[in-house]
Amino acid sequence: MAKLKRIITDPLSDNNPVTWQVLGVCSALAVTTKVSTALVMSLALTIVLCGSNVVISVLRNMIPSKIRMIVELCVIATLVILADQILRAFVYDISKQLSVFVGLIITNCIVMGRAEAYALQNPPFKSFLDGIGNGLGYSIILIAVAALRELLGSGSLLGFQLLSPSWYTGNTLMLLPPGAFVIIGLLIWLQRTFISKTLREED
Amino acid sequence: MRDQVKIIGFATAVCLVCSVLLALVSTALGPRQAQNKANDVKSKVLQVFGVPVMNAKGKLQVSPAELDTLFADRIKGVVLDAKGALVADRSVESLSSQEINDRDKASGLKAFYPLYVYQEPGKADKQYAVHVSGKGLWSTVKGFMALEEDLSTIAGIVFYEHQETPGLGGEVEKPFFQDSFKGKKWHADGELQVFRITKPGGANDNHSVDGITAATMTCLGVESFLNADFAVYDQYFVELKAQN
Repeated sequence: MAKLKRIITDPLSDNNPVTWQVLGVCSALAVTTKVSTALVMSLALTIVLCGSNVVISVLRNMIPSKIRMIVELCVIATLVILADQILRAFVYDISKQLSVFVGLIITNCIVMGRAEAYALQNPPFKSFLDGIGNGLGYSIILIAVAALRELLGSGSLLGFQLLSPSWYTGNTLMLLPPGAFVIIGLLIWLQRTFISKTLREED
Repeated sequence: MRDQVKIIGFATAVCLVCSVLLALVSTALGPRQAQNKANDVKSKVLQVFGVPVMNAKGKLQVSPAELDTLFADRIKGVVLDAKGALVADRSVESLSSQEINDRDKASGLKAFYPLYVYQEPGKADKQYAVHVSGKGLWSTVKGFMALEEDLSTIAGIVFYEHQETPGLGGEVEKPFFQDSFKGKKWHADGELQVFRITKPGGANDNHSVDGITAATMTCLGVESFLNADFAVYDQYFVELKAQN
């Protein structure tokens, strides 16, 4: 039981896909100007990741090792298109804002990375948990970055104006991609210095 | 040999399953997506005439049913041909995307030009909006441009569809760019002028707006199709003005 719990909790901080393995940074820069788009992106990625992990894990003993990567890609691509089609049918506004980035889930290294590194060796249920864990790990960082950027950049959170424009001038740097680099860098520093158990044990 | 057969068999099976799944979903969700898109276009037509269908965040604030009623009550579409003459036997709804977006290679003209007429119920004032579209950098940029009563001053412009780079050419859909067209004029002393999208900071008269930094190619495309399309509509407007 404790082991299963670790599958989910490890990627949240000690083995976080974004701040520790530095995967999925492309979308972490691109869709984090607002919390709402970051939320939808996190949700879409988590669902795709769980789905691809389970499918790959079920097929793991059948996939010929010579073509395993292309099979992984095929499965992931299918799931991504499904997610995109569903977003377009049910939340058209948000799908317009996310534009190309949903399609780009397929190039998100986290999905392919987990399929290669975990789902190919582990049974479906554990792979599913691994998908949830890594999806949440990615989501935490994305939402943290988006919250900081939206608050400092536009003075709002989830679209609600918190810092009145009468005395707070939005920091445009935060709305530009370099702002996300700065924040992700700070988060990595914060995590390595104060939060990570692994590193402190090594010291 | 057996290995290869297994590999090919497995690959085929995966491809088949994936493609059947995608085909099913696309067929099932297709109508819903088309409806979303049609509603979006309707809302953009209303928006270009200044009807408050969008809230400040660009989200639809009326229900799809209200949108339909608003559109049916206030908007009438007519179709012009490439010479700016009325085409009586075609309706705007019957025009295909090719007919209103694809240009003839030799003349640079499109087959048909939809024109939207806005009239509030019980009022005599009419306002016109033209459909403009053409190549940006990567894709066809499509939009509507509404005119004031003088048929020369731009009342509003909305780009409703494009696949330009988000953050660069994609900025054409942002209010700061679209708002900069408001109040600009197509004519000076009755003569049709060339409308310019200049380098940022270069707009110096009321026939030009500032372009978008890092989106030069998109802006050049927009400039070129705005001029080409408006020239056609202007032929119709000239006659309209002569009648009044």
